[in-house]
Amino acid sequence: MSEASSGLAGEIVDRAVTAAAVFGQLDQEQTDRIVRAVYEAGFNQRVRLARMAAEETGLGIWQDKVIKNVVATQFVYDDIRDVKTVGIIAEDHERGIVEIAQPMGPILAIIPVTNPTSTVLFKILIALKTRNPIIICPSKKAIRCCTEAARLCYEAALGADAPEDCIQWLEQVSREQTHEIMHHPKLALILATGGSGLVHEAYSSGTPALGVGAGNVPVFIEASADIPFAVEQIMISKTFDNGTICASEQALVVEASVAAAVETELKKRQAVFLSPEETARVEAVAWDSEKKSMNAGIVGQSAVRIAELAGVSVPGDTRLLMAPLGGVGAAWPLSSEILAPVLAYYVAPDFRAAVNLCIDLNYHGGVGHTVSIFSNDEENIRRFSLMMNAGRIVVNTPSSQGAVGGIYNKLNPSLTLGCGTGGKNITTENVTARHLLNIQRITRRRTNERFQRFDARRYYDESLDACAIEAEFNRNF
Amino acid sequence: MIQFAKEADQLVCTLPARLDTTACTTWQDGLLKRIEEEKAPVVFDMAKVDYISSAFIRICLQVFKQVGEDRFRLINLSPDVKKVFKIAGLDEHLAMS
Repeated sequence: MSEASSGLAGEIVDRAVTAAAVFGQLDQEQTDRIVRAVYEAGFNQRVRLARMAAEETGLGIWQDKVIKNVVATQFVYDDIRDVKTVGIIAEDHERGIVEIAQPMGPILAIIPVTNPTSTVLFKILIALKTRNPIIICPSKKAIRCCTEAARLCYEAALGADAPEDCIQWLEQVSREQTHEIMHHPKLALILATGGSGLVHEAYSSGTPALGVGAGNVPVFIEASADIPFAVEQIMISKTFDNGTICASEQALVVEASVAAAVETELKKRQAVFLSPEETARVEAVAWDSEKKSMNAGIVGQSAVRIAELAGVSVPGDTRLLMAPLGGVGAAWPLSSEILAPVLAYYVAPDFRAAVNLCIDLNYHGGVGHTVSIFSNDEENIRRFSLMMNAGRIVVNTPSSQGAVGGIYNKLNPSLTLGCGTGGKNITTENVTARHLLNIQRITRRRTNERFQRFDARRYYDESLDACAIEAEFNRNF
Repeated sequence: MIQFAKEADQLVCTLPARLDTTACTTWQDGLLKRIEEEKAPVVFDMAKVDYISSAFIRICLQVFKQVGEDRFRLINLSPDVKKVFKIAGLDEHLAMS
């Protein structure tokens, strides 16, 4: 257990290093027993932790946070339980290559305010599965719920004979201390899920880091889509936890031929279309024009609350605010990421124009993250996908839950979504246990027969070009 | 080859499908000369275009400088071509739709 005041950063990392050394002795069975115990402890407290998170942060909906905790425990556990993460994990006798999994070492886990307890549970499970000690660094606005999640996981881990200090947490978070731990030479990895500032700091620390990128998810309802289904799925996704998932839809693009039907279905489901004046008022409360980013005060708030803040009159059962916009970019602030139930809306004359709009939205702050399409035309799904720069292109799926994985598709369930180099990340994958291993490869001598029979002195003959050498090298007797 | 038309005081240049280096070299001088003579806003109609080369992007930048920021735009871009401008970071400078 950690008391994280200034100057103790080194001590915390030192304890984690000792835990790593002890952890390294455990076999797969012992490791899996610990993971099982921690999964059960986290899952069994899913409701209490969700309520704590909603109360402490003032963001989102506790019932939806329960589902996030379920994904972070049950779904993640299901996904990793049978994965080999200790010792020899693969043997290819034909190629003579044997893979050995080694833990990385102490991991610093940065936890965002938007998904606090679920991210703690998720990161602890994948760290323990790979025998890596973990240090939880919560958002300042979610310290109590995060430390409670970490504490109960630690208790369960110790009960299953995990090494002491395999889970630590910072109870008093300061930027200086986080900075100090990030830069500690014995820290192995930073799992950085959070705002761009923190992720950038993690990357700049010199410690290897797995980070995330910002999202700005366009969802395209193409002419062949099942409209009521598509709209229902978008409502499920965009209103989930009041839109706090970074993979939630940020702009809806529809083809003109189906726009009327889409609008009817949206209105049926308590989505309210804003007038230009109302859009401007919502923009004023949802967008921080100085910081040029969403206003933190409306993140995870309900549509009704945001309308109230904006001075816009809406029915009390309103679930989503639709903002028809004339363009994409700085002149249209609501075309940027807003983690709340506010959705930009565009009608495009045809497929080509719609895809062009989606390209604009994708490149307006969401490169590498997630895009979404509703369509029953395979060729158009393919054409759309080839034009996007996104780690996840979710099809006929609510994008929040679809990108996180495990519920609507077979992506690895994860609360850390890689966004590739476009999002300044090293992977486009959903980060999971396999990313927390150093894989060693024993490679046996296997003769390259073509090289064996080839007269290597031919390489010194400058008159032989690539084609001539290839012909001789690949000659089939 | 390029087709020229005057529409609403604009010079509309309808471009062929493949704008590779060889093609651009063939008509570049003629195009720039025509633009110079017309002294009108220029529109590149890209409806038929499915491939653009670096040479074409250079021509766009040259036209942009020659006629001025507000007097040059590209229209009817396919998603494939639009993506090239997007990745190259030129969509912020060149007006396109």
